[in-house]
Amino acid sequence: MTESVKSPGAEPGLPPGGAPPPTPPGHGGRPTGPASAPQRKTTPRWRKRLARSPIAVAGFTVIGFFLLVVAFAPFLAPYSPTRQALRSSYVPPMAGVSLRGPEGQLGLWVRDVSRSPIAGVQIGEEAYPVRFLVRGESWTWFFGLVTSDMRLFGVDGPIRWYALGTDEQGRDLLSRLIHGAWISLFIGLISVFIGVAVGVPIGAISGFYGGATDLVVQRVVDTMLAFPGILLAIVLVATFGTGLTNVMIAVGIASIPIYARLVRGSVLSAREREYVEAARALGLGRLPTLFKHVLPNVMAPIIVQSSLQMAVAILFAAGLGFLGLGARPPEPEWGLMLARGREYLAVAPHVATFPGLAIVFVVLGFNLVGDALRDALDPRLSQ
Amino acid sequence: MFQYAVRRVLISIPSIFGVILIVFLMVRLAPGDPALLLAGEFATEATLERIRERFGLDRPTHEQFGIFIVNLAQGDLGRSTRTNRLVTSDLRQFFPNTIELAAAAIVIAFLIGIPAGIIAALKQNTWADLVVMFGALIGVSMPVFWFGLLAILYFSVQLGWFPVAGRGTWQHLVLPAFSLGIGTMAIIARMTRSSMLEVLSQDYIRTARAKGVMTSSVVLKHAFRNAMVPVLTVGGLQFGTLMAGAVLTESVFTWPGIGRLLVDSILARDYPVVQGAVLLIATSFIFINILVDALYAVIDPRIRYD
Repeated sequence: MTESVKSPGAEPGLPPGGAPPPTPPGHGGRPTGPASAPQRKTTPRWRKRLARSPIAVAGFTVIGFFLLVVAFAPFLAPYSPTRQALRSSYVPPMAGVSLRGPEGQLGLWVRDVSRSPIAGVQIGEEAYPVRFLVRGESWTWFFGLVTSDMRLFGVDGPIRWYALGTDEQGRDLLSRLIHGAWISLFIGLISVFIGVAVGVPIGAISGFYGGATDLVVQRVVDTMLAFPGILLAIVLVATFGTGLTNVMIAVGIASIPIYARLVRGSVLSAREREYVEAARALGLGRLPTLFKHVLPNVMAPIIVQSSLQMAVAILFAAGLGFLGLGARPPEPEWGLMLARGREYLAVAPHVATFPGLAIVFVVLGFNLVGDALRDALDPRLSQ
Repeated sequence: MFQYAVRRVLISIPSIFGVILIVFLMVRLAPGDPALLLAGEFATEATLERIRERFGLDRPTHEQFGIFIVNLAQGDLGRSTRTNRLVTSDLRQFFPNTIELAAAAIVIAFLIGIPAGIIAALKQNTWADLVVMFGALIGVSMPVFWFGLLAILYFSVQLGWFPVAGRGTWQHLVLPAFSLGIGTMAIIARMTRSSMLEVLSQDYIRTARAKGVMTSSVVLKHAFRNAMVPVLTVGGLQFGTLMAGAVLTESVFTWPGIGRLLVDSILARDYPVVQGAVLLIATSFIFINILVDALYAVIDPRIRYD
């Protein structure tokens, strides 16, 4: 079997030591011409390895589920994420829910729940069934393009139910978690985009040109890397202000040096290879050689890093939200929700527990995919 | 090695300079009047004037930077706008607590991470391996502050084993250090496992086994010592990262360290303290990494810097 994508003149063998430039997935230079026609039918080896890996399957399942939640949030959530019900603040999870109806029939039945500091949790008499496809509060989605009042599931009756309980303002925790999912996804995507869009060209040029350019760029990268972990993002947020947009930008900027370092290393080892020499000998300029031939061949580590970076970005953003430096209320950002739950930890532990579980779930998904991609794209790195 | 350390310090001078520049720019780039940021919201006009004079805020930016560096060299970072205490005395008070927490965290991380990694390597592809590796994956995927809150809820509030917050006895240290160390523990466990697996496949291990050396002796005497070199390095380099992670952990456990000082100061817009804390964390991160690099040569005589 041949590698389905490769740069012209790229040798299939391994470089003598140094960072490996493995087969790039999605390399723009798809083989053309009659000679390469049969190659198109073979599945790339890395994709086969990926499909066989249980880690990859688990990771992609988690991320797929997460994406579904983001896409269909208002349909999946029982209620609006911001609607308050002060007579039912800090309702515990599954309060008033039973598996048998008034006449003993099976199913999910709920009773009205309220909670006050004096009377405690009060559960009403009348039980109502939980049904699929129930009409509830109306919602709009996709910037007003979709409007409906249909929800995937809900109570068939005049009361509200709280599968995961409520927060201090009586807002449904499940609905808030579902509506908060897109925030995590966006923070991850935008900050990874910033990191790749700025870090990759910087690292590539630094590694490919060397000399004074490299020296200056590397000193800047060194300086940024002198701020460990979340600190650079904190510095940026402290300077330019808090809020969701600034958090995305800050976490993105904080990932620039990681990409720059990574790509520089890969480019350094790739630029000595024959296909680069061949491209240059054919009269291709330095910059076109870099972007057409070298960069596609160092894509694999960038892709692996991006999946892991999604995980880091989501963790960082949640951390900033938790510290009060990120998203602002009433935004249903998971880190912020966690911080609110901290004040009444002993009374209502569920308020802090579930957002944390959601973060772990999603971050785990991206870490699993990152690990699986690394194994698939570069088997030499894995044990 | 001494020469190497000196050279590393020299190489890091541009980074330290860059860190100082970034810290300097924080106040200048932040929206609002720098004098107001440095003097505090409730400063009188006279105080503002004094601050402008002292930091040369009416002069060009490069001169301001010069003044900033001169002040810094004299150990003058200004005064907190909240407490009016000297920033340096604030840092001196809080920084040792962070070091204490980070040191305890890394000790816990090594004590649990290394045995876990060794077990995973020796029992490769068994359920024990699976449990350790999955645990490590959860460890790097978990927000430390969330784990901290759950630990408080369970071990402090419900079981009453440890105090809820603050610093004092060793019991105060257990939960924060454990929470902070979890990520590093996971990294060390993974590293130990892969390093052990690599060493165990080497020829000299096969030779030792063929000679009839007992398995426990092969593992402990022959494999372990060689496998530890990369683990110690990676773990050591984590120490600096832990100081940044402490920002979150200290906030959860109200630990009187520099991370919490930083966050409180940001929220209170106390810029002189923010500058001092950032400067201290970043520069000590640089120096700790140099130290770890140099120690690398001490544990592994095969490595020589020239």
